[in-house]
Amino acid sequence: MISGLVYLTGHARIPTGEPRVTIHVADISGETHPVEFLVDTGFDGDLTLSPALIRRLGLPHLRVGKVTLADNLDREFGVYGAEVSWNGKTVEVEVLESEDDPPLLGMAMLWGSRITIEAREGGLVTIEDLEVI
Amino acid sequence: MAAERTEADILAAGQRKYRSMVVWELTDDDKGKMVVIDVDSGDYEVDTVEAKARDRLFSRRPDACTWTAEFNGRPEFRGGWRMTYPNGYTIEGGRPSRDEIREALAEARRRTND
Repeated sequence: MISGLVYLTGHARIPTGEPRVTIHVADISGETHPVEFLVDTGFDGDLTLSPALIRRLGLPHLRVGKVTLADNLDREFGVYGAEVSWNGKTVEVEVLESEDDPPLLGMAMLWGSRITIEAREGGLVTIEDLEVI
Repeated sequence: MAAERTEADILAAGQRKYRSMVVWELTDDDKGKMVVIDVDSGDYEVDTVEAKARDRLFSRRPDACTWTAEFNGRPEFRGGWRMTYPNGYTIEGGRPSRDEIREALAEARRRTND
């Protein structure tokens, strides 16, 4: 099981928060590094990471992606590969280059899992493998 | 009660209190100081010397179960609403398969080792 916390990001009038979990991402030498991700069910990919972190980890480049932002301009971004520890297993995932901070963990990563979020300040976030439950 | 808990339980409880409550009450003047927290009540003391903070907390709460952190400032808020960046994205050649990612990683490792 993977667990994390809900961080308060709102204020007294409109309290809200971010569910975050820490996942270990392997660099090219195989050494793993803890990275905190925001669980984002509106993102249908696996993970995003910043360009700086992708370079530091030495991840291999696979594709070029394109996205249209609110200003109607297309932006290009790199798609990389990485190995992460996920519910006790090592899995290969796609990593989209993005300046999102914290980086995002999306639905492709969560596929096959049950996620529970205690949506309150300091609430627990848990991700369990559906095959194990 | 405290003796029955594992270190992992105390760590998790301490981090919860620290991240969800204590960091929002500290100020820039507290940066670099040690924070000793009673993981049950959330009561805490701050001092440049951990032992002094600990002594003050235990004088008030002799049964405290404590966890200590160094305060490095609050996490920063982002203003406005989040626009999830990858929504509506396309990847030339389609999304890579798990097999392709595995092969690319193996190839990159071979190159690094050469």
